[in-house]
Amino acid sequence: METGSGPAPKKVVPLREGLFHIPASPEDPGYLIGSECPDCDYIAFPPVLVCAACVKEDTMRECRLSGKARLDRFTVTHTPHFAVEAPYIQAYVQLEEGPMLYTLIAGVEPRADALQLDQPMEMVIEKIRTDEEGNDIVAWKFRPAGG
Amino acid sequence: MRDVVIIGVGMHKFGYLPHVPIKELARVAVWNAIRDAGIEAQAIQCAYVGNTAQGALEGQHSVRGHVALRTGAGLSGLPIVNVECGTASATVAFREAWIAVGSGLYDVALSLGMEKTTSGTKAQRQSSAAGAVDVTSGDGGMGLTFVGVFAALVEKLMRQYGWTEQQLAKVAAKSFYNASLNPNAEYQQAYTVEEVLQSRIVSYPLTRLMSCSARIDGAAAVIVCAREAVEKYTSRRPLVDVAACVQRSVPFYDFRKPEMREIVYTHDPASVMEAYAIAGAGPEDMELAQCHDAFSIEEMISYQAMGFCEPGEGGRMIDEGRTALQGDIPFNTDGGLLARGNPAGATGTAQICEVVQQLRGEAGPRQVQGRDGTGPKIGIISNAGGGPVENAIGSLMGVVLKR
Repeated sequence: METGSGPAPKKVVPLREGLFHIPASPEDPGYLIGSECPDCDYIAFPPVLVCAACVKEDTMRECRLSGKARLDRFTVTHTPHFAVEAPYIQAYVQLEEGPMLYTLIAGVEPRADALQLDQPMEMVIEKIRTDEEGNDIVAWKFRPAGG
Repeated sequence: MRDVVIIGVGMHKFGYLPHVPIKELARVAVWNAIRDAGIEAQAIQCAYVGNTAQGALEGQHSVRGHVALRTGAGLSGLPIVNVECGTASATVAFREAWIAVGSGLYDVALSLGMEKTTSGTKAQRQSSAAGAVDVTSGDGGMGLTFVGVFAALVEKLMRQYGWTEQQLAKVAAKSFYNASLNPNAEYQQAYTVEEVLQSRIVSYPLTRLMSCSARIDGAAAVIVCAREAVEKYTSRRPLVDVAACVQRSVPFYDFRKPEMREIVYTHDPASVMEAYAIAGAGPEDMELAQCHDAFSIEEMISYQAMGFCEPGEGGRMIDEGRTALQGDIPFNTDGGLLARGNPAGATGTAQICEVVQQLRGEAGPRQVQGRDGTGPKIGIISNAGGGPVENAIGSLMGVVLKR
């Protein structure tokens, strides 16, 4: 039932809960949330419940990841996806803490010559798309470091 | 374990078949296998049914195999188990049938793979495919596609090994040629290397004709029997031995170690190597091979992962024609996932159907001759299911069949 006047205010909605912190202000850095095992120093992203490296049940602790990474590989995709408009870049980056993760790329044109393998990258929290209610769905992306 | 033999195989042609319901796909595959085995349908004592997408695309979230076998194939009363392991689903269904018979509990077991991805909306299909990775990772909601995953690998491997787009296209052209000789294949037409290269770019550098179809239907069935009980059920010969059937789940890869990254880039060989060891044979003994080639790059990777060449020599393998029908190790003789087609839940049993037909000498114009010209005696199958690479939370399969 419509009771208000005008559209509901647009919300910022994380793509998935528990994977990253959304900046509340320009001074508040966003970050990825991982899990680490103090016993063997294994760090996981997305976070895991039990350490897959040393397989002890109760060692993993939540941790904040630096967002500094190396571009492992990428491709320019020309077919639209339900979640993303084409063309777009699908990429894997390796965080300096070790995990390798899938990411979209921010800050460059979706062209094969826009990136170099192994170049330093940094994480940003950005809009991925708009949902049916007009809210911004946000998640991590990576862009060339210092860009 | 008792010795287990394959007594019957059957398929419904793979392809874009929007008007054929999944139960009809199942009926045709199962009854072709029953006729091929020369058994009464009632001889089947248990069944395992692989499928990945019927829940997401048609709403049949539960009891898919029960519905398809009862209302499609007419089989009821027997124990039926639904199997979902991504593109490995039907290989896993086959393995469960092998275990059921090998254990001594049953004499005759059916494995069926069935898939229909021409149902549903495009968003449902993409969402269903994205469900083959850990969905809590969010990757599917950020445009991750399997073709993208492998396209990103291609450039890396082209740099590392000097592989070329021409070689990727040669692999695809070989698959289309093989499929053109296979009446059950999705593609009934051969494409040239130039046509493969000139088709639409999906995810650079992979083109449409280097990538399997997203909308495809099909079914494939395999019936196994205890060797010691065969006489009781059928006089059909020759029998094909299940010499090894290995399933692993993807192990933990510690990406802090560069050598772990290499394994992931170039396919984990563990299941195939274990299958060779159990069968007491190595790659040098194999006379044909099937691999998971949803994208042509995967076949080039598989040449080395399955032990047929040193790392990086896949380009030379295809240039020298070693994996063509007349080569010393013919690969994907039926067209493979790329051209026979990859309706995910049906792919595993289709691979087995092809190797069985080749070992029996019944593969018609695509029949390979084996080392001594009397037909192949042993072949290897590799399959995998679940998200690739970093999100690899799935199954790795290795099967050796021989006559």
